[in-house]
Amino acid sequence: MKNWRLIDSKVLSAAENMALDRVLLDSRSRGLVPDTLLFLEFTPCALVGYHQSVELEVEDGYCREHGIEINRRISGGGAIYMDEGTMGWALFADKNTSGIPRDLDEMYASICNSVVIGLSKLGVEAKFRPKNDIEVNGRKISGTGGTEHASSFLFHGSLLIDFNVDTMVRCLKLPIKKLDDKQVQSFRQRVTSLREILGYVPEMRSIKKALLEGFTEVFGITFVPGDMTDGEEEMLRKETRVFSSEEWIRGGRRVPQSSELKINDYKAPGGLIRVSVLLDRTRKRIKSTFITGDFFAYPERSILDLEACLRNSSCLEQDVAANVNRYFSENDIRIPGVDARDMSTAVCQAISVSRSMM
Amino acid sequence: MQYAEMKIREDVKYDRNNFWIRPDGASALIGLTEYGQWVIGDILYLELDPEGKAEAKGDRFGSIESGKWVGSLISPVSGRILQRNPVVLENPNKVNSSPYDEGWLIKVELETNDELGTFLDGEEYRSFVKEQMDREL
Repeated sequence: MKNWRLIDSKVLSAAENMALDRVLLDSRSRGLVPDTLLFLEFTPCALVGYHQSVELEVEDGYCREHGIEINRRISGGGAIYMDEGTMGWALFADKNTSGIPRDLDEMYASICNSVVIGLSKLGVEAKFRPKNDIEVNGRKISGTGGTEHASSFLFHGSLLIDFNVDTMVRCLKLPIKKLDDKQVQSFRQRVTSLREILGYVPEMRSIKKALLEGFTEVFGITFVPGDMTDGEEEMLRKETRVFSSEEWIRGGRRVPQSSELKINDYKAPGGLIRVSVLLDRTRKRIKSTFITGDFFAYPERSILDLEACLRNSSCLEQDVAANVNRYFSENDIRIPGVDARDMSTAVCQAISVSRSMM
Repeated sequence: MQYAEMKIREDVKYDRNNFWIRPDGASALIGLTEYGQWVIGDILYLELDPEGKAEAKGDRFGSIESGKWVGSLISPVSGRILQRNPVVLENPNKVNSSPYDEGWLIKVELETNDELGTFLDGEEYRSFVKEQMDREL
């Protein structure tokens, strides 16, 4: 059994939590501390991915009015909302830690599967959804991401416990603005929480215990409760100032990007397909899509999976068509009156409508 | 991708972080190898340090994101960034589709030519890649 340090952090501000990621990754990479698992708790905050632009991802005014802190992660991925109804888990380890695959896809799978096993201890039947989400019946309950520094890596994830979807919908720029209540309600179905699945909110310590059991089962880790070293505490104070700065949160990102919301209705023989797409024309990518309508899809989750398949994919017409065709041919999708060509036409028309909704 | 399909050129030098280096007098072009971009996967974001910035060998000169993972670009040489490739800043996917040509990353004014002797040639890098790929199996 390998011994890992376990740090169970108290509720911290977004800036402190984001700084903590950097501090623990840095001290692990310098060999000052053992491999570490960190549990994090949050006050309400919107967190963008390392390369994202706050302006494009977060409803700044809403956050300011409602005391929702904005910050930036050192890891990749999209903007998320975290609050008291969520928690974070994070692994800081050497890249050569035995049992943890070096190949990124395999690493995602093995770490996410240990969280899946942990959730099963709570009675939740979750599944790993490649590349790096954890879902229950197609609905996301944990998103993950990671980064590296020298010889060490950070892989972390969120867990939705008693999640406030309404606040998330209001504070992030999602592909659902301008949609009616019914459609927004359908968007809410894209995520779930422990409360929704179990019918109650488990105690935080039970959740943490279950997750630890999952990591122990998969990686053979023994967790030894510990604290940050004095050096880490000192570095955290220093880094929190950096992570609180406007330069870190809003400035300095030099990656050209854009974001526009496009919505279009397409009439297929099987019914109306409404596609709402967040588009980054600069990078020629679909950031995210939201597909609804009055058609019937079997299995029900197939549309959620299609949305996941299109996330971050090319927005060029031939690529969209190829991706949608591949998705339909590789999966047993049945949508009466809607075939792959209808679906790709619906998505392509949404991408090409001239009017932006943002 | 199979090992046999991996393009490895003979007209550039390589380091063990999967960068190629094409020296040209006092400067060098730097990019990711075919194997390097394949390991990273579909590149979503790419950030490069500004032109004029001096980097030591082993310094981070930028970041790259794929599948929610942010990786570091580690400079294979010491020198000053003369030029960033505007094509990849605009379309990072060019690093995937044309790693040795249109997808180059930076042009560096070399601080010294001494570091060039430490790099691998095509044959040595081919063995290195094979070793890496065998390890992943």
